[in-house]
Amino acid sequence: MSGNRDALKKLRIQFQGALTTEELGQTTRWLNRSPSTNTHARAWADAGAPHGALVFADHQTAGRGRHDRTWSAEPGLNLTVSVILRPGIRPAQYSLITLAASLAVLDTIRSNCNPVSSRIKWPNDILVDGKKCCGMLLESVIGTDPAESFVILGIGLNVNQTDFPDTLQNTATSIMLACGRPVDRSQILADLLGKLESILETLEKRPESIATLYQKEMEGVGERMTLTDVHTDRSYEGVLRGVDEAGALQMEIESEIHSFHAGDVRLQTEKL
Amino acid sequence: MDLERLREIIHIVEETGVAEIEIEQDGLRIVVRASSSGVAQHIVTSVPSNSSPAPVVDESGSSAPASSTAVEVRAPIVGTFYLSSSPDSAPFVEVGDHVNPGDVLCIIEAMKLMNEIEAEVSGTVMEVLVENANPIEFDQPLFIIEPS
Repeated sequence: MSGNRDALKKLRIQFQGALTTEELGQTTRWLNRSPSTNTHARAWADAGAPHGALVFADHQTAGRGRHDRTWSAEPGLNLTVSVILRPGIRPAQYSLITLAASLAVLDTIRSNCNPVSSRIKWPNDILVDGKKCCGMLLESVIGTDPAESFVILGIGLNVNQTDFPDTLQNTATSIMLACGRPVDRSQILADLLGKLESILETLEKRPESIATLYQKEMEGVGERMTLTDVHTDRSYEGVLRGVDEAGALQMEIESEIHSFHAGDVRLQTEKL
Repeated sequence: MDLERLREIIHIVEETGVAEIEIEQDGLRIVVRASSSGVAQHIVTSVPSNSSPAPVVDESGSSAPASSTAVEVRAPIVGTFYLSSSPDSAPFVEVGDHVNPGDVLCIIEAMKLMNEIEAEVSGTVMEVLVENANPIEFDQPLFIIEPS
């Protein structure tokens, strides 16, 4: 256990040395184990944690995805973090943070590795060489007083994991698998927070530019696709046409464009 | 005020793009508000407080047994409305349930951002105005709660 503590301390010191942000990651909590960094961050935010506060867990034991799905990552190899954001935008624009965070992760992967291909599958799956490398879960609390509103951005980024369970073998990858060498997690995390801070600044100043930047990186535009709502099992088929200015998926169905805010996307060309 | 006059007011809101029209006539006050898409979608009628409790009428025309003290819970973001955290979970609330401030009423999902909508008052859920997994607009009424 003390070995874990020493490794975590070393990681924290290296991270602090590499960090170039003004706010993101300046206040941190480093946990050897946590059931869910988002749950921890939510309680911390309720207790007044500042904008940019970061929760890091070396081993997330009960990571959550959408609709109570689980997210699993091997301890000591990946990044499972949550960032508390109190952005200077209207709560109605909070969903643009999903797009901004996807762009920041994509940029981080590209600048630390040189994958053959790296794209975003709507809304925030980061595909590296066609496989999923990162998952995110965003949770927001919108109070009557804007000062009480915040967003928890949970990021699970596969960094140095090379073995995945059989069920994920064909669909999951990591930065190490894409570059063929181990990568320094502290450097990746510091870099990611720097890029996130920068794109959040763009979001605050020019919110309308985010969807345009995002659409350039979007996988499958022009392809046939299916969107399924897991709550109802309803499916919609059509051609992916991109996103609107709020980030909603635009699908052409029988010559009409329809907007979707939620659902699982499957592209016809996907290997999954 | 007859129905024809009410239709005219709704058309004015839709055609002009004004956010809200309020008319008071013979002790009856009518407010027609535009949704963010510019379509008049919600009508609240009320009478002065010394009269009997006013009905609350939604776009489908169904009336809720709510008094003028009934509180509407509206959507703070555009998204998809979910009454439970997963397909297999029980709904957070149902009509007739008692809720306290901070209790989760529903989730609105938008681009994988999950926003839990919490009750701000304690009271009884009188109406759930949206069906599970349906899209909702900004500021759309979601629940009517009668404070206790």
